[in-house]
Amino acid sequence: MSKLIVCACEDVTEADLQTAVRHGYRDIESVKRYTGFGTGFCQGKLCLTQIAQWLHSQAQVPAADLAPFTPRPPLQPTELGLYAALDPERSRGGLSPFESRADALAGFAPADPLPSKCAVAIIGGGILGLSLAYHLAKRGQRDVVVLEEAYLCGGASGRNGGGVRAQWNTATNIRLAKRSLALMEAFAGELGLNVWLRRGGYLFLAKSARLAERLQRAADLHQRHGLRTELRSADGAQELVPDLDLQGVTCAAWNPDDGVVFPWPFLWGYAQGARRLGARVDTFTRVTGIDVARGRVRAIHTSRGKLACDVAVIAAGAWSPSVAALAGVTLPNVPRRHEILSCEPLKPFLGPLVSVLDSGLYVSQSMRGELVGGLGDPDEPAGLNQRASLRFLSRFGQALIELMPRARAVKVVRQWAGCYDVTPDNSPILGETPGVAGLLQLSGFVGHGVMMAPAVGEAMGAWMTGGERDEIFDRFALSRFAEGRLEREDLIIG
Amino acid sequence: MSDSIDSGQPPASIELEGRAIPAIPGEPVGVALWRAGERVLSRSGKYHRPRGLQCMQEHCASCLVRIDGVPNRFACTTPCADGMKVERQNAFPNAARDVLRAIDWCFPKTFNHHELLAGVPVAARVMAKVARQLSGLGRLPDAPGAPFEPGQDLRVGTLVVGLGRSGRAWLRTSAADGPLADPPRDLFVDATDAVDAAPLAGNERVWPSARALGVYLEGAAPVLAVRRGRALWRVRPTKLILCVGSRAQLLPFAGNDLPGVMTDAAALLLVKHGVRPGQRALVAGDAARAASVAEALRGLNVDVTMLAPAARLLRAEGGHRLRRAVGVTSGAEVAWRVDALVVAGPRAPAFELAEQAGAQIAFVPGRGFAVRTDARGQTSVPWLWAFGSCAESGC
Repeated sequence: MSKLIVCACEDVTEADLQTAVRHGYRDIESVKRYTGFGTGFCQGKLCLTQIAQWLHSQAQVPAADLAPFTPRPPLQPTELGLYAALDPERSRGGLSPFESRADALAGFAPADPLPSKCAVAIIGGGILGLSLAYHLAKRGQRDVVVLEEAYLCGGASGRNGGGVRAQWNTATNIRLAKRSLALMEAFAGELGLNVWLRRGGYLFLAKSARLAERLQRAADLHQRHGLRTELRSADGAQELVPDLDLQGVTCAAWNPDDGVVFPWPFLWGYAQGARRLGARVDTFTRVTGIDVARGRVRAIHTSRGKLACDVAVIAAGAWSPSVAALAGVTLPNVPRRHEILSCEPLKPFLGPLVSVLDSGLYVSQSMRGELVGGLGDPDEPAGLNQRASLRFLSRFGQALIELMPRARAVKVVRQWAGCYDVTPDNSPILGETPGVAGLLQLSGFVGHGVMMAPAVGEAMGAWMTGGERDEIFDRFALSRFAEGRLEREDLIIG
Repeated sequence: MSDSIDSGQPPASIELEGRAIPAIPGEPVGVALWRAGERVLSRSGKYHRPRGLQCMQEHCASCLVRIDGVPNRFACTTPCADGMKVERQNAFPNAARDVLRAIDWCFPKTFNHHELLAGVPVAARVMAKVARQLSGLGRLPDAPGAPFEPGQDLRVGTLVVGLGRSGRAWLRTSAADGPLADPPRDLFVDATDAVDAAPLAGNERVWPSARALGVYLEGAAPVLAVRRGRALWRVRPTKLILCVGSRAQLLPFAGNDLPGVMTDAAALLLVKHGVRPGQRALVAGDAARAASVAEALRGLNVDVTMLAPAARLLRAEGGHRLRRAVGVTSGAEVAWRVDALVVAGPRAPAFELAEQAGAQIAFVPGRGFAVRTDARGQTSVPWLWAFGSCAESGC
């Protein structure tokens, strides 16, 4: 065969590198994500250097701009049981200083200068900002610039487990999730990229009576809203997941229509779609200031110059409070690290995404066969932190082995972390900012931004272009915190 | 192949998909399979390309097999035991003749999984279902396996990771100077690839065959996960010294993954076990290393051809195993009928642990990503030093 394999684990060829470069991805983090190189069993040990060399010589990337992708622990695939045998309580320590790598990547910024003004500036090129940009452009508002500090998929949109579900505890969230699922089904047809939506269902498990009761309440609401959620006993759930140990489970909630997506192509697809319609997506462009004068937003300062705008949207995920502070606005959101890992690729054996409410564990099997899962940590301090921890590996190992004893011999291939953007009531912050005209909020999705982004971006794009004002822009307005009107959602994983 | 077992040890037998393979207890599974003439040890994830022994250092994934019910184990290092059951993975009906290889032939350059059939009604849905069924390498382990030993904690003054050539040289010359000049001098060595685990300075503890799996930060202080057999150690050093060396890279020519194409290190390991990489070998790459591997191969009566320094490899050819290597010399294509292509290729610095520790990394064209240090090995992190071929100044 005439293939030149450049990554043997994932069968990436030189032609794949050429495709990535043709789509504008020249930095190693983006090339890794677009081609999949370095994500296999060897984690780039055999291929990273040669691909960097290729980008240097074939794609004219200067040596000074070449940085390796973040080398994720462990250095060798290692059994989860080995980590589970550690006492996690002895792996602690405060928050490590957060270091943005954005400045080191500034050389990959678009070659043409930033325009001097635009109608809508969107701060944050995560899935929410890009979905909004695409839906604005689709409705005719093409004078849009998305400002992204680093590469696409660098923040939480590129670091999550890809779970999408309609099983929520409020009517509004159920409606948004159902709409998102419909848009995800249509995504590949509309934007030309596969997102690998696999509707293997979500299986929530509860052990304590309190959590079982929460599932029962939710199931009732789901049925009233036309979801196929059904409550099952442990035995009934066992039929769905024969390889799991459901000892102690008192109640399970199962919705066969929920599923898992591959999050990255949403960002690429929305960005490509927005650009095709005339909007701009400026990656590697850092926002350094926001001008507000006479009660109105006027301009954004960036590492590539000043951009005057009529409307600015803060869609920076966990970075939203610090971006809002540039405009003198205080958001109640706090960033909180959430860790996740991916195991060796195994033949399909696990259909649904399984979540144990008692421990905060969730796990699913990806389209490549890897077990992908995370686990919330009640002791996690607030603050920006994207470093992986040893404590997580041992806590996750213990929780997964309890659910799936054979996981003791399953090897973890890599671990990483992202930041949840946590609000006081677990609901997002959308719409106007009291006191600053033209400054809109699109943040606070508490770990479920990917599954909400298609629907929320569509609704916000419609509202901003003179269409219907969805009730979410009132219900989830920033003003609710001052008014003491919280919108509590308690079906949060992790 | 007729590489007979002649070690004086009692022979054992392992089972490859029901077939008995003679083996020496303790030798790597991959060595026994290679001696028995097995060249295809695995099938690649996407295109089901045949793969064999390539690096023999647990760096690549070309030799992953199922052993005694545990998926994805390295044939290159897992020691043989009598009665061990070995199965190749990710193939239908079997790895030797895998009809799913058709995917490789249908897409001669690549297929773009992002855009293939995107949005085509029905077809896209069928593709997703098929892709799901084809995904994964091995099946779930048969059993949880034996419990691991409880994790351990250790605080040390200085931790040295890597006791290869540079680690030893550094210890001999710098033990009284540099980072060890100041207290604490409690020296501790993780000998990842130690050949000789004898203490060097007298007061250090040496862990042979231990493996550092990652550097984590607790606040600003380092903690390393170090594997020793069936226990994991959390090691918290005051000073960390990395002498982790470099490793072979996938080579930039078509057919670089064919069974029979291997690194010089892999060929030397086979030779060490008395097994010939092939009957006719083409040896290429770095002159000194190529000469030494050629000599070792000739010692086992392998018919060796050396690639001329001015020549360049174009491709490796063959169906299930290497049949022919093609190169270009003085503008003309030349082909060699060989069943082993041994390449002493460039080695890339192992920068990962230093990066996890927060050290600055530099791209050095021709070498790769290396740890940035000053002349005394100090990195940009106050408690971290790097020496030898993992460092920017190393060779």
